Amino acid sequence: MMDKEQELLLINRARRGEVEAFMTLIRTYQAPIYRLIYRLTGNREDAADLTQETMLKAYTGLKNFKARSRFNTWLHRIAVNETLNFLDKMSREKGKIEYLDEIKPADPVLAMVATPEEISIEEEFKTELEQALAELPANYKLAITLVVFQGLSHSEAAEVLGCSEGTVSWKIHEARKMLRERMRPYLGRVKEV
Amino acid sequence: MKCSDYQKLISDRLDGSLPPAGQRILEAHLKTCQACHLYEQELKTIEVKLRKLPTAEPENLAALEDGLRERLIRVEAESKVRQNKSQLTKLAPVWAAGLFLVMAAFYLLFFNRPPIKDQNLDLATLMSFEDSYLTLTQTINGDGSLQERYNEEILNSIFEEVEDLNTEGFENIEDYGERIINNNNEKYLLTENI
Repeated sequence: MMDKEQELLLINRARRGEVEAFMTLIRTYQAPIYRLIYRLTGNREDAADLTQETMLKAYTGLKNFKARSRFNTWLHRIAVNETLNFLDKMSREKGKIEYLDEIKPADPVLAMVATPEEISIEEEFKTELEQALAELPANYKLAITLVVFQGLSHSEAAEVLGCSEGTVSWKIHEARKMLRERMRPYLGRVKEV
Repeated sequence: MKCSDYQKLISDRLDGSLPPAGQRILEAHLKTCQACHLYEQELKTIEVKLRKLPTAEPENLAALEDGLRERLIRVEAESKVRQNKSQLTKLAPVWAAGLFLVMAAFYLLFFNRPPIKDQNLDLATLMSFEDSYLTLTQTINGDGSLQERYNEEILNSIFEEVEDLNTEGFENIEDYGERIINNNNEKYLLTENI
């Protein structure tokens, strides 16, 4: 991670049309943004495309970046908007559940799961948890992804989502309750923390 | 506070967003509530497993970057073209005004000349002149003594005009002679009417 001063310098150079300055600026953010989008879409190809779209939007919209929020937060907001628009479009075209079901077999992590005999309890737990996470309502999943996986604070996530910190906190609490309900049958079988 | 309120505090604490005062209240409750204690243990287990879930890394970050760089260069080039275009568009009123002035000057120079007087007046036109003169003379004729004198002067001016008009532009002497004869006939016709 670069310091804020260096970041602002790169932002100003990119605003003047220096593509390489922008590439340096986003280099550290590309992989985390990709991971966020992948968490929300469940598809590598879509995640790559949407990551590129996010960066392109950021470049063309850099003139509107006021530097009041962190560049990372601003980039996350663009990524979330791009992904939600994409998912909305997909759900209108095909039905979201159908779409997610369709892409699941392509997921290399889940492809590791072959037969029930080969699955250890740990793996079974992971698989179920992954599934439970994927099936959370979109706004809960988004909040928990931003905080748990992207490492944003409640206030940063609130800025990304355009809501209050209290709402973020409440959504994450609800998401955890749902995950707990879903994982209850497995909780006694896995190793205690 | 109900247990559901404490459970929300447990969630906030997992995210590191519970202030110290809230932590103290929660700790005190957890010591006395077995259900909430179990809830916290279960959430911790889920949280650890959640954070250990495999993350998807971009398969080819370099290719992703190259693709993005290419698009950005294209966007930058397009934006420069748009900027130039918009500068031209901003000057459009100036261009239009300039073009209008050039066209107006061209029109004034070549198309807006005063009309050339048609001097080949025919007999009918002359007769209309004569009618006007006669009307005038009739007005003047209130004084009978001047009638003959005015008639003569008016006719003489008409004759001179006819002669001037019909002799202009003749280079050939025969044409000129023929026209003089015609003029004399016209004079005769005019005097006969009076």
